[in-house]
Amino acid sequence: MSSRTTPAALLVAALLLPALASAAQPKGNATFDHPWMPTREIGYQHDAQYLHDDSKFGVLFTRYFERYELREDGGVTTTLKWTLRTKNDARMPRTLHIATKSSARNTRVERFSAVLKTKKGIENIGADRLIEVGADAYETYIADTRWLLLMLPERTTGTLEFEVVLHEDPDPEVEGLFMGWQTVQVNGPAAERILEIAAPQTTEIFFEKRYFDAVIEPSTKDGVTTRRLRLTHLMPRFWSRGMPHSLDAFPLLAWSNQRDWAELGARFAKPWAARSAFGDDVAATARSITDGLESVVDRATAVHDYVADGWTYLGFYPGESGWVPHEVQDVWASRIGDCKDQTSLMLAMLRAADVEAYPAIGYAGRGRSFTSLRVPVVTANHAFVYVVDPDHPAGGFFINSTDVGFAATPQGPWMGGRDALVFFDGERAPELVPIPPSTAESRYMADHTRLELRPDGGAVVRFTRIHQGDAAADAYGRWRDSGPEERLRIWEGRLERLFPGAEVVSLREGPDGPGRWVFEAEAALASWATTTGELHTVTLPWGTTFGAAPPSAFGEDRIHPRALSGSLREQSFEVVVPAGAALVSIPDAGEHTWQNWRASFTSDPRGRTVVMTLRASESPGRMFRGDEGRRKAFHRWLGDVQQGTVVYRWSEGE
Amino acid sequence: MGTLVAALLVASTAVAAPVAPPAEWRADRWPDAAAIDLEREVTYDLTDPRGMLVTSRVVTGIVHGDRARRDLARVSVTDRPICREVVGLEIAVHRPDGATMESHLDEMVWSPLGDHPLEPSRSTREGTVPRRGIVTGGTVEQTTTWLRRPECFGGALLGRVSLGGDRPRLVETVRVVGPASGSWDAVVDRPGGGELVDEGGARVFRRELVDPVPDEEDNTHRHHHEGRILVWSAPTPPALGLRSALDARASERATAVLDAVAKARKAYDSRGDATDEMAAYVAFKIAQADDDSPYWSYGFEWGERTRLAERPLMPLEWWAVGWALLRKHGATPLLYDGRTRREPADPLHPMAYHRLGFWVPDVGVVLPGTIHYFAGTALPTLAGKAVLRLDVGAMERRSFEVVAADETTRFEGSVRLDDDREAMDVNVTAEVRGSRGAKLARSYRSMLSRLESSKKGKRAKRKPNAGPLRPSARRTLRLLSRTFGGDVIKGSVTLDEDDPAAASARLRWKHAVPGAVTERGRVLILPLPLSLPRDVLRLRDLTEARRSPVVVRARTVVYSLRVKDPGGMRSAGLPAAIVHEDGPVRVAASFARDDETRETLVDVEVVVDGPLVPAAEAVALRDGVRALRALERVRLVYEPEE
Repeated sequence: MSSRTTPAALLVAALLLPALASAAQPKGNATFDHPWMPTREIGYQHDAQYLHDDSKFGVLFTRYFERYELREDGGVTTTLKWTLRTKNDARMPRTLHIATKSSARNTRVERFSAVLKTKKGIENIGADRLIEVGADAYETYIADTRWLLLMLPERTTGTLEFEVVLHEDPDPEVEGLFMGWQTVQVNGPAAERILEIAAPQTTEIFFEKRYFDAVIEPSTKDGVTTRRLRLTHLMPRFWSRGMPHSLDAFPLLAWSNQRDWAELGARFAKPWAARSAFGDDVAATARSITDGLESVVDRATAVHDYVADGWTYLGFYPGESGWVPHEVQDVWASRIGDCKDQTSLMLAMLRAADVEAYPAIGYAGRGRSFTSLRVPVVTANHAFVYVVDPDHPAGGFFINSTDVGFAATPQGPWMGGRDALVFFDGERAPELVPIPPSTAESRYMADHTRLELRPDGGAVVRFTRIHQGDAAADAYGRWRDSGPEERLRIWEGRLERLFPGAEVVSLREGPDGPGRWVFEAEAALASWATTTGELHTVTLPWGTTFGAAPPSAFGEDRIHPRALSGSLREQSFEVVVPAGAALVSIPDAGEHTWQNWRASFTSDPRGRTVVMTLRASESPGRMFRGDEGRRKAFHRWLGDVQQGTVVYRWSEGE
Repeated sequence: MGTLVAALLVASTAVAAPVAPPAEWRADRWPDAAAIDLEREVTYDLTDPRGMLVTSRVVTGIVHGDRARRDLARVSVTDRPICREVVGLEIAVHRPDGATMESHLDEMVWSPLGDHPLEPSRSTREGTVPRRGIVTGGTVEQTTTWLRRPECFGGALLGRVSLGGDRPRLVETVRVVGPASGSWDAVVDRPGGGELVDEGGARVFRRELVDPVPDEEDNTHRHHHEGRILVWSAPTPPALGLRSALDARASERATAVLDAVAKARKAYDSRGDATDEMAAYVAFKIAQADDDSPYWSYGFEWGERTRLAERPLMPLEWWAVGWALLRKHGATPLLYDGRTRREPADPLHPMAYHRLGFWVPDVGVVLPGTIHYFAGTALPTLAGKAVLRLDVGAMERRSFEVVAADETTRFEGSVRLDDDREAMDVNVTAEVRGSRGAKLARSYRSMLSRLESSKKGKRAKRKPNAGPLRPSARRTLRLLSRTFGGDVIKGSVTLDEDDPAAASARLRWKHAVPGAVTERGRVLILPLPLSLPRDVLRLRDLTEARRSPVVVRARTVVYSLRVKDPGGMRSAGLPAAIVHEDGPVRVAASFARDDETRETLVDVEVVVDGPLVPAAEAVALRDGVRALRALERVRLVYEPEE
């Protein structure tokens, strides 16, 4: 549970405990234990608050039945039977998502029926209302998957009874898999939810019930064993922007016919290996770019950078499952590929350079938390490389396949802190390997500004921005894609915004040591301080500004916490007043903390120089209901500090 | 240069033995280019019996393979049955090592968008196929052919081409090929800098050395650049009959739709006399049918009667319904192009416009999702945009310039620092004119009108500051807040009965002053409580190299404030005046003392010209922005009274 419980909250909780205990679970055969969602958000028909009955819902699935059956031939038959009752026509959906069709597995509708019963009578809805639309989630990953949608008639009250049976062939590339997961809750409230997982009697199926417990009833008929989960009185799934991954957020049932991760990994490793042959040209290039490099890290980094900068991300898998890369030699020639392709190419080159490395798959997503399931179910969306290194404290390290050729390790917050399934082979079986978690420093940026004022109010300004970790990779990527001239033009524009009228003396952007990317500028200002009699006021244009509306601020009214990847921003501002001037006023120092977030501001006068530093560290973690306001206050404090000015006294005679 | 271009074309088309990119490809003209289009030719072939064939052929030279690949690796084409059917695609990537990697139409993966409201099978499809093997020194040849069937847009012989692109282009050609005889005789309206010739039965537009569209420039209207839209049509564009079609079909179709769509009928019946509300309803409904596609994307289609009540309506259908609703209010249908801030090449060409709307007397222009209200006789928010009114009567359609109104906001009042020194208490009278004044006045009048007709409102009028007046007033005050950028805590509105586009308001707000006073120093520093034009302050890329015009809203903002000395403090002096008299942004700020009342007098006037500042004036605009920034830095400084 959350670590932010206060004594007052505990007292309130203690007082409420007896009442809540009786209300803790909805009626039905399941109990729920969710890390943050009160059970009333999962189920209805409590004895206490949130007392709902079926009649309260504008739309309600009075029955929501799903069955996934592994056939003897390795294919899967899916049966969906829904009864949707609509009392409020405004709540009736226009379309229903039926299934995601895969051309690789030849998904097809075997049976379809839909009947709408209204006061006007009974209407049979024809299969012509089933339409397909493209379902590829990304423009650069094309696998010709499609959504099958049912276009419903004009919104009306009544009852829709719907049934569809879909057949899928076995996966053509990774054989023998039958696994999946379904959330307990569905897209609408459900009076009855039945989920059946069926397989030939001889097939063992492993289950994981996350955040809930309920009996799964087995029964066997005609050599097929069906495991049946029946739940009642379920609230719909609620979504909040920025929430953790669905696997972390909702009670769910996962199933797999794989005994453990080793068995699952071996099934993937086989087809991967079958496409890993490479030619002399690949090997020669690998040896050339690693020539003279001794350590595993150096050789791995050289290969990574070569592929990361020389290949462009484009996944193109029509008619394929998308779980296995293309032939290495094709990737080599085409200069394009997705994460699997580029992983496969990196592996080939690493092996040619005598580096032991293996494919790895895992879940990649910035700002989300994700915990692996215990049963071996693939929930990965990314492939990358695990490099074995005897000199590394952990015995090896990961390199990404789709980032840029700079600051390749450690991984950014969008990959760190979760498990990867590494397809070891030979004596070592595939296994889950943890990716080191990211920290606030994983994405580090710092600005240093020095403003040296002249007696006439003009100034010389030197500005430096330092990027490290994930921020350095991003900065390098922008530089690489835009070209150096364009980047300098952009920086010149930024400098103009910070210091209007600045005459640029020098600009430079580029690497500054391993994993460190900098921009440096020097410029002259004809005037900067504003003069009031003998007093001169210097406003401070901070390179990064804060305010009451932090980036991606969301509303407070949310059920799920928001998952934050941390960040660390450091800025220093050095103001040097003219010789003979006296400092009259400088901004006050201070600090602001919230949980493990830290913001601090220091201002130190040293002779005619004032050095101010502003440090803001947001730690990765989860923000719960009510925390958004505290985050805004955190940013507002920083914004207020940045409004501070330096005042000095100076006159002609001094 | 012509010789060079010819040589390059020979090199690029005879690509059997490609070579490293000629140095000329990255001539001084485009030193940053990752790739250059060596030629692009668009051909409209009117001789095909199936319909109009549109063929695009592009040959691209790769200067920087790794950078160019990010744009070129993925080919995406749009296919729409009847109006834009992809019938041919051939891609060949020639590498400098002599290898060629090809892609064809049958490899394309089609992704239906499901966007046709009538028949899913007629949805738009996005097709994707990779271009493999792009490396430095290679060339890419691509030929794409679309068919426009006669059923589309009434078989109209017309076309619209976007010229230029993200890459530099050596030669660009548009060719209209007609049958040997017949009355096709294409008329081409062309942007500047091109050459129009007759070539063996074809009308040909050609230009050379075409700069890329400067999409990296901030605040750019790409379509303005060089007038890059080329439209052509047969001498009598059939779409000039759009109004006739509307007249002929709208009554029938609109009536059918009204009958079928119960909510539209209800609106027709219940809001019949309230022009404002009807206009708002129509704007909302057209927006429901509208997407980013231009209204003519699906052709001249009105849909089938079947299942009318069950499906969303198409833009033209909603236009017809809208007209049925607004006709009795004197509305005139119109076409509008919000993307173009210039006179279209052919103002009577329907493809010069994207959106449908209405001109409603005494209200404004009703467009998808919004209404642009008249400010007096002007429509300031449409200033510079192109509108085509489809008035009754043959060939009386006309486009017109929408002139700007007086867009002045004037603040006059006093400022006093709170005792806790956390914020300034600002009390001003704000006079708002022009589009914002019109919007404010209309919003306030509408609020009063609703109150008049409600029992609660009558009660509220007897008991001011009670009941529903409060939330309604808050809405109006929020509108005011947006007008001047503050956060109003108290205010009242007065309408100018002589000017429908003006309103004044008595306002009070708190202006936070973090860091006004410090522990270490004994001075007190106050920023000026001004709301300077944020859109102007945000402008970037205002350099001599700028190639696209800058879009800014014309307005004048005047402040006349009396800032009271904080208790126990005296003014340390007056800031220097700021005067910037030239250019599209002019700033005048002066400061004076009234020692008798212990006040500092702040007078500020900011004038912004708009709506379009030519690229040649970008530097002058930048100087104005700098003056605004200097004004932002001004502080009033106070010292303790000794």
